[in-house]
Amino acid sequence: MKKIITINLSGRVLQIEESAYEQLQQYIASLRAYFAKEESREEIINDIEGRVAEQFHSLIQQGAPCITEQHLSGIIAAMGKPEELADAEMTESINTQEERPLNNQTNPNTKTTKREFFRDANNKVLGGVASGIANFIGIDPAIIRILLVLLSFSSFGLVSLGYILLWIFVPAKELDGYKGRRFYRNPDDRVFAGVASGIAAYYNVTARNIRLLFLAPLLLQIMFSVLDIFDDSALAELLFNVSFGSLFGFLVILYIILWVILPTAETSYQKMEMRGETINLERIRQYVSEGGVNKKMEEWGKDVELTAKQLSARVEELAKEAKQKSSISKPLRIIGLFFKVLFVFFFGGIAIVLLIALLALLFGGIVSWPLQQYIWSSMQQQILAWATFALFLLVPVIGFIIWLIRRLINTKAGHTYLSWTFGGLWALGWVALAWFASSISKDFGYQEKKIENIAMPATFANKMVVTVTEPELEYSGSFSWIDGDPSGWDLTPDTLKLSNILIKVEPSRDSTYQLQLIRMANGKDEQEAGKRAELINYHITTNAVGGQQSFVEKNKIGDTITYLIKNLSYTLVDLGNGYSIPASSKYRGQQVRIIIRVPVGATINFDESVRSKLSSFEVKIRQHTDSKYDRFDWTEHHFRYRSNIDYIMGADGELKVADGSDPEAESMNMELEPPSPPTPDTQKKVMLLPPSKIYPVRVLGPSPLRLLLG
Amino acid sequence: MNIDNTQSQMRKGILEFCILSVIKRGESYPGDIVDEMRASGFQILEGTLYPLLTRLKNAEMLSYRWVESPTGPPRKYFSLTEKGQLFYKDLDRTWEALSFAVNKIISPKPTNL
Repeated sequence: MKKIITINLSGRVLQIEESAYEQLQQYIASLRAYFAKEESREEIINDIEGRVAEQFHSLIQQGAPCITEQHLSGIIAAMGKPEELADAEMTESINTQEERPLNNQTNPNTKTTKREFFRDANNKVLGGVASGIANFIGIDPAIIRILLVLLSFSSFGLVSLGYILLWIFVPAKELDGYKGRRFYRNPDDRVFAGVASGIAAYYNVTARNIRLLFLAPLLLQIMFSVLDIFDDSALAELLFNVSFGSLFGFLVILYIILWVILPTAETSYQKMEMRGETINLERIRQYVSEGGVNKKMEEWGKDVELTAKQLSARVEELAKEAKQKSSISKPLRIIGLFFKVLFVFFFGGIAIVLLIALLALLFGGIVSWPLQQYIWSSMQQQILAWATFALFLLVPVIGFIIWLIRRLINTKAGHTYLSWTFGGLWALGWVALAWFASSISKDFGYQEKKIENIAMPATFANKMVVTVTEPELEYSGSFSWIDGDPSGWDLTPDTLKLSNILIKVEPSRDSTYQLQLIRMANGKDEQEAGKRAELINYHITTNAVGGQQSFVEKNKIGDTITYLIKNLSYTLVDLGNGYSIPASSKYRGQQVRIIIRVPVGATINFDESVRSKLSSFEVKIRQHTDSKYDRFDWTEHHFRYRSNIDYIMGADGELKVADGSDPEAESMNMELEPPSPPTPDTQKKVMLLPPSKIYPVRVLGPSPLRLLLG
Repeated sequence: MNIDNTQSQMRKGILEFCILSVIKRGESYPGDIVDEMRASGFQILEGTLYPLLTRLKNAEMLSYRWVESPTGPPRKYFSLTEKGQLFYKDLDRTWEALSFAVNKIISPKPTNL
């Protein structure tokens, strides 16, 4: 079955077999090459095209349903193939035709000289939009196709929508194909689909280089696992697997995309286009008569030989160099060596730093994937982040790898445009980075705090116990990659919970305990920061707990006397296990701080749960120096109190331990301290009374309490 | 020395003259010229005709105008310019002389029997 297409040839609409049409195009192209020296080449070609169209037309009028290859070959025979014309005209075409690179040809078709934007009806995968754009700009359609595919992945359908709109609204036209070097898949030299060797042909390097490039991440990964240098570091191993694994995965996807997009170079003409060879007749004839495959094998053989020679030559050179070195004066040699080392360290250092940053980001990126929705406050920021990632980190690393591999296999210096492209992309990466950084830092520009006084129960108690009764915050999601520390935070699609709460103890100005909750957040302006702070959800409950330790004794008369040994009533402050941030407000340095004001002489006791369930690390973010808020400096106020110790507020505003021991917990002590939680239900001796009521405790004498205790 | 070369050299020399003489008889478009030449047994490749016509036109021997055709887009109809007429006359004279001489050379000489 043959595909029949409709073409417009010199103003005539004709049905033609696709294969015949391809032959026709090749024929016309060969004529164009043949008449390259003719000053009115285009006129001649147009005349010939017109004539061919006329003959096609009369064939169809005679009843042919469409133009077949036979029809075409009859017409070509009458018209004459270029080599026949050369014989007939005796123009010394073979000798005089200069090698003209294809790229130098001006757009030859008078039909499209005006450079209007059309969809290309001749050369299309879907609607011919990409090839139309390529024709308009004058580059290989494959490049546009690749860009479109990549963009449509990352643009959330915008590019696809644009494509469809162009498909609908831009008229189609028969456009002359792009004349120049093109990307093709090379069917003669392939492992899978000939993508690598096609690219190699385009860049005029050997296919091995490109294949190596595709395989590099996989090879590195294998290499690393063989060496197993990270044998005791599961994280590092994971890091390498994730990064190189995903890079390899990316390349596999890229390969598949290219496989789909790139056409195969089937005809000898296409093969020459692929190499960007000058398409003149002699070359085509040569190529066909010599047999592409044989030649290829031969070339390959030569190439292998050459590589072997080069390698041995290099070894020899090195040996020579080593000998020569001894003849140069010592100081010069040292200076030379110094610069060499400096150079290697400098550039190698930059490359390695970037590589590490990339790996960290790849790894971190995966880890923070569910965190994503808490990071970007706008689509723009997200796009910028990706651009930064791709251009600033990926580009130089890929460039470095390419350079390294080229060095390793001793290829000649790269094409300048390659380095220009990489340089340009990297420069764009810098722009994206700066932009992204400023965008994010603007989001942190202002800080606002919401201060709230927590109501305290009325009590005579001169002791406060701070505890966390809620279970420790733990990650409740199901991401299997969390092997590390799943406690201290939680994440759901709509809320982020964090347990880093800073507690500061200050002396109270009066004789009551005071509790202040400060919610802080950053934003690009004060309103935004304030709103964010308002949206932080953290709850504290305060209860008055009454109780007394007493012992009961019967006196001589038989009356029961209760001796109160200790006033055990206290204010219980139950802190929440973490504060939550709604996804809509993003993570912008939200923080919760608690200020406890203890009257001088009163007691405070931190339950073990405060230390174990809340973390006290602080995210420090620099803010605008000119902003209006008063700065908090809490750096030294990380939680450092010992658990289950009664602290007494001294007159100097410092907490003292009742027995006079060191008030500050050393980390070692904290670890060793046996947990003895004073939670009400475990304190057997203490009477529990309903909270929030006042229970005056009498020292002696009959009281309802006494009866109760009895 | 191969025969093809010699043949095409011979043909090439006369081709221009033949084309001009077809056009001299009346305005014609390339299709006509090819048909007429083939009808009289002069086999040419059409591909050689177009560059030749263009070159003659560029040399101001020929001019052309677009004439509507019944079946499709307009065709180029060529005619001789004044310069072309003179050129043709020169060629004609040369041809007369040449063909006379050639015939004389190649025809068997009268023998004395």
